[in-house]
Amino acid sequence: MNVLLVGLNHNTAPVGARERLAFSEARLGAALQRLVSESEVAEAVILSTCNRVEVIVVPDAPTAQAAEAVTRFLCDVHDLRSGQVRPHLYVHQSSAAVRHVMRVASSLDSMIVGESQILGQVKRAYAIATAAGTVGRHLHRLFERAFAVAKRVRAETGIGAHAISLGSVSVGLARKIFDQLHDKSLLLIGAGEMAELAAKCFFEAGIESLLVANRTLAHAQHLADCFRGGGRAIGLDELPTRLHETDIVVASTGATTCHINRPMAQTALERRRYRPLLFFDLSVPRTIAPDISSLDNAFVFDLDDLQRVIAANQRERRREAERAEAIVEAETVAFLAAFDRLDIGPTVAALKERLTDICEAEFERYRKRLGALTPEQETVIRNFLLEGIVNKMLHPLILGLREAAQQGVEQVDLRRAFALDAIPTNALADDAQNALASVHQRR
Amino acid sequence: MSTLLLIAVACYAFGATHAIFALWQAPSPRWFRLALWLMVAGFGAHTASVVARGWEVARCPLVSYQEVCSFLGWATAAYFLSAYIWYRSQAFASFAMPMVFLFALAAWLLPAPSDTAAVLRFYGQTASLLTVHAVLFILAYAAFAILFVAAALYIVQERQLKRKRFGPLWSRLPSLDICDDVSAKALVIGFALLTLGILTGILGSRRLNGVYWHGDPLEFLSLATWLIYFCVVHYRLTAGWRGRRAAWLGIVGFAIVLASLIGIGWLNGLHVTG
Repeated sequence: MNVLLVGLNHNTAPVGARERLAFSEARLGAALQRLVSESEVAEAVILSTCNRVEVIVVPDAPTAQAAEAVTRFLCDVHDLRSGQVRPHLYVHQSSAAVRHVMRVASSLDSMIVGESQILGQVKRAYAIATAAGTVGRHLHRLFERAFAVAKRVRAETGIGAHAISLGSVSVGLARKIFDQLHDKSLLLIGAGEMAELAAKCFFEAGIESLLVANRTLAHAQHLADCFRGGGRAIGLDELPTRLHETDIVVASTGATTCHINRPMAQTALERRRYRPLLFFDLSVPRTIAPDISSLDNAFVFDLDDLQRVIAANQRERRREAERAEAIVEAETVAFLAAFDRLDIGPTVAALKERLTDICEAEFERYRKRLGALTPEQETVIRNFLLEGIVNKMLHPLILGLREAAQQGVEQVDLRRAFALDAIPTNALADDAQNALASVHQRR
Repeated sequence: MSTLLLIAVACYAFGATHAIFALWQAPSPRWFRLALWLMVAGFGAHTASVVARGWEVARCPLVSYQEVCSFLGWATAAYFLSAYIWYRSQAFASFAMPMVFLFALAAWLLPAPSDTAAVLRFYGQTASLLTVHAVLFILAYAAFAILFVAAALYIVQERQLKRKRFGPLWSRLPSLDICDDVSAKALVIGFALLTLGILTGILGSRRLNGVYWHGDPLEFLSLATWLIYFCVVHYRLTAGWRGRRAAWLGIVGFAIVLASLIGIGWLNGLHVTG
């Protein structure tokens, strides 16, 4: 399968590099269309999460050239120099790319192996690319399969059974500072899925008071209402005046500017008489200024910090992940084999060759009876008449093949009918002659 | 007395060893329970040894330097056990055990009192008031020892959280809240006792020689101790100081406390011990 993946993730790039290359959801559609129109790329999906930016394409050009084009695209679209981007990038092609997509969807490549958010994010990326019209049948099949594999991995291994989410890691850190959480209050900045998951973890840990700050107040209120006792929704502009009321802040917004800066945190700390204030910044680009960490009694953890905390837990998790890797490996091999079988290109080529051979053989056979032909006549017969017949016959067959392939049905019958597998055409002809001869002999 | 004290020291030694091993590897709950019960047993033996000494000499056993150290160890153990009952924090308990052990060990290693009768003669009429003064001081010092342990743990823990480097101790450190709360309580108790101790000292001094201030080095050290802890109390109440700054002041304060403790034994000025 001709698929190419160019990207970076939390293992190859620091958060600074990831935030420079991240795509906001609003820009994703346009970026995909630009990639497909400008580069030699037939299909494309861009997966941009906090921990990874990956461009998955089906290239029209040779792989190396396409990889170069995608890298150039990443630089151009973010106005970056190639030297800033290149060191962090990895390139996977064909089977490696298929395996990588399946590993990512199955959460085997996640910062927290086994976390459940990534599958939703991959599905979202795929839906956006489909809406932008940059998904063709190759990526369609690859992603549909990857979703199925992710589901299987989750069902058959314990990878997600006691998964540590970013939320539960955050709760652990909060307990290192506050000990008891039931009398503490939580502020969410952003009302997305990440915020909700984090809030769930904190509520399970005993937190009872919740503030949700979001640009759209209705979304904030909706999320706040999901929790027992209900929370209060506030606008982002209220943050400076309300920050001191809260003990734990979880930011997971897609905004591109810092919402909470050092002076704001300083004021809040003074107003709360320096009781500790704990920030978790789960967003990329970061929402909470990292230099807040230098204030007394303020603690800031960004995604990279959480990664360090969970490194140890991850080691445990890897044991279960090994089983998942085996599943992914088997699925990759099976997918590639099925894909090759379903790839109608070779079948069409073989079919065309077979039909052309038949036509030309028949023409040669009756050539003498036609008498003298001018070179012009001969060219017309060979280049137009014979090729026309071949193409007319081929057309419905190709349509049938394509339809079958889209439904995932392998066209064994057609290959068998035209004897396209293994046996060379002339050998087949010889076989037929021999068979005929033996029939005659018996008579 | 010395046999009972030896039993106490042996019990405390186990607790301290357990705590030191806990620095490298998380101990199993069974070992921790054993260490804790031995600390309780040690405290029992220690209490018995203090009472037996008092019975033996028919006075408050706080005249010789050995008695001072022993009483300090006993008070620290008492605070330590109360803190464990209050917070149920295994981590905090583990780190307080060595402190108790060191005071008790010092008491056991010190030479037996030489001439306590001479000391009592020196203080004469004021002996009983000055005994109260000594008890208050030692109880305050023990509170500051607990504060020191909590402050040190706070600083280590806060450092790891700020630098985001989580060492082997990480999982066993108590939460910042507990460290800060223990510090705050120990501070209140210690500071109140210290203030009372200084007041009784001044009164005793007036009765003894008719002056409030002798210029004795220990008087200066006590004043410094009081000022340091006063700063912590003051800033905690007014500026909302807590955490790291308060913890560092607690550590500096305890350094002066240690200097005073050594001074009691070796500076033979106004404060005479046997």
